[in-house]
Amino acid sequence: MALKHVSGRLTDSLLLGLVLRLVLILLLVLGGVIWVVDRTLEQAGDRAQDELLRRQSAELLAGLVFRGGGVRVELPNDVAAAYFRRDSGYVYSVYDDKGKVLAESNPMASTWLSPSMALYPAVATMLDTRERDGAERALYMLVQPVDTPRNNKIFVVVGQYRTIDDVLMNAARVALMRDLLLLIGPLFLLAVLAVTGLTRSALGPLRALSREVAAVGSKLRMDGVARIEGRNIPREIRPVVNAFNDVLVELGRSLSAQQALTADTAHQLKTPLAVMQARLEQLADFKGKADVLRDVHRMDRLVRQLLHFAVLSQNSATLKVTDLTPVVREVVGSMVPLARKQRIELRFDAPDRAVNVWLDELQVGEAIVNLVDNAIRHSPKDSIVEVVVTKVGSIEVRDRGAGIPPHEQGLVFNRFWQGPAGEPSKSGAGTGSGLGLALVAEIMRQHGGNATVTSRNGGGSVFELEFRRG
Amino acid sequence: MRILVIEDEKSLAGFIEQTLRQHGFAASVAGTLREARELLKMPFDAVISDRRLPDGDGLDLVRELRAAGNGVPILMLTALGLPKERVIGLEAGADDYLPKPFSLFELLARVKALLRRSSGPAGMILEAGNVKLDTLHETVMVAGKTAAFGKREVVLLRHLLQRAGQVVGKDVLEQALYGESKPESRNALEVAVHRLRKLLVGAKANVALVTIRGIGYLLEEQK
Repeated sequence: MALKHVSGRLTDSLLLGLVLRLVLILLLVLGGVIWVVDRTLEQAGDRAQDELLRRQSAELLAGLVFRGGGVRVELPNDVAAAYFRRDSGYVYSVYDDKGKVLAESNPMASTWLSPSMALYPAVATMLDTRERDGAERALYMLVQPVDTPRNNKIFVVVGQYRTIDDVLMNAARVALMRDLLLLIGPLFLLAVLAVTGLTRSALGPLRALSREVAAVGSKLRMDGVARIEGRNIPREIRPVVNAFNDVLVELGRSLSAQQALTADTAHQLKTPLAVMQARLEQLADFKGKADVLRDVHRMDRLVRQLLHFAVLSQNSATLKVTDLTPVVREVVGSMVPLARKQRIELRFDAPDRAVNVWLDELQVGEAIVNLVDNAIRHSPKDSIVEVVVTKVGSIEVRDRGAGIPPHEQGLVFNRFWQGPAGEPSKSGAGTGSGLGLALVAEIMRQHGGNATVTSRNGGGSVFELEFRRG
Repeated sequence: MRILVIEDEKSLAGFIEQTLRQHGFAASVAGTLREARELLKMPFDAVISDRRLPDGDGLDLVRELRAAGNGVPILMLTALGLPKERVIGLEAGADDYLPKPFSLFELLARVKALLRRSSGPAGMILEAGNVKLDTLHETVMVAGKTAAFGKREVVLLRHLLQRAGQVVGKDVLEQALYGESKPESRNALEVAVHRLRKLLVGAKANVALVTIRGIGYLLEEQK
């Protein structure tokens, strides 16, 4: 009995699962590293900006001149020039504790710096318009409270737009990150390969074990005993292997008991039949002797088929990719004398090229014997039984017997089916055991193939055995 | 010709012994492996053995004999007769097998075939119907008269006679006629068979050379 194999999705692979998890961890770590590097670079940019603002503020504070009650800004020429350059991005303004603008770098400066004009901070305070304008177009400001000689408070505000340099700096950051990713890509692939390789080798003992387990069934059937030796079995699955071995011992015991029973039964049933046949043959001819001999043969066939059923249920087919043609030709050849005795011409035909299919030679031989025997018994004298191997990997047995009505064609492979119901038995009908075709169907089932019957143009049936291509 | 029959079912052993004697063989019967081993101290020309015996498996005896270098032809009688059992029997060193129940005539034919095969290159007479072939001198006699057959026809006839009543495959016959070299044409074998058939008919042989389409040829006695 061939049990259905456990099927599974591709993603059920242990190897795949482990590799995917490890790769996920790898991705998270890499992502983390990239994020941290990027953040650090960005913060470095921000800190540089702050430092620049502080220097600008210090320059300006150095240029404050208090005269009388007023205040003026006197800057060194080069610094002043920087404020006049259109694209420098530097502005300043000075206002008092009432919000009145005392000085500014250009007539619009105090308007640009207006967010800071609402602040009257006690200590130096940074602020920017990043939220409103985005990092690229934002104005960065520093408000510095200053005490005048007359103990009034004024506020010096300096501001910078991001200069071309800053934008370039940012582009450099992006380029750096891109280079980093380009470098990391191949590194990541290498890491994935390494992870896969390592996982594979770690799972090696498991694969070896699975190969050994796969072979254990046929070894058990051949030798009656089998166990998993499995060197280097991981500690985690040793209990499974031990339990499996215990089951194997039990199985081996019951299998050999069953096989012994089958062999005993065969001997006990067949020997009296042999005696009966020998006794009959030694007797002088009497009326009905041929009939009694035929009965002995029929009994023999029944016993043989029953036993074969028993054997089939103990062993399943051992399939190998084999050329169908020589196998079928040999069996058909061995049945020619039987066919000639019944005055049936047995013919064989096959393609010139090999027809490779999955088969168990001995079992298929038995199936063909049953089919041809069936065809010979149901064919009228002097007719032809053809056995044909087809290019697509099937065997056809064509006879010119009475045929099987379409509504019964699904039943012929059932056990003990005995020909069309309610019809008078023809020449060969009724001499079968009703087991032969069931045996054929069981053998084909173990081959993962199919046995079917169809009616033939001009009378008779075509039995077809389909195999899996090798 | 002395034949040892190892079979514990007394009536079956009796029938086999009787049949063998009727056809001119000397037969001894052993009912157990122990008796058989005792008897096998004397030489036999062939052994017929059952498998299941009161004191063991007949195949074990076959293995013992082969291990001891004894090449006596052995015909096994098997109960199951399933292909697997046959293969195991042949691998153990048996020469042929016959599933139970069997016809005594078939048993006799198989024993004769075994004896023919074992008589080796010293030469023997193969026959079917009124056709006889002396394998040593490669001469053919039909109905008591010497017939002039060509070398090729003799080779064909020898293979067909060796397995008279059974189909001999085309590949076997082609191998026998042409060896590894390619036959001169696709239907060379058919031509050779046709010639042999004409010769047999001309010499009034009462055997028929039947073509089994797709498989090979069969030589059978005509009734």
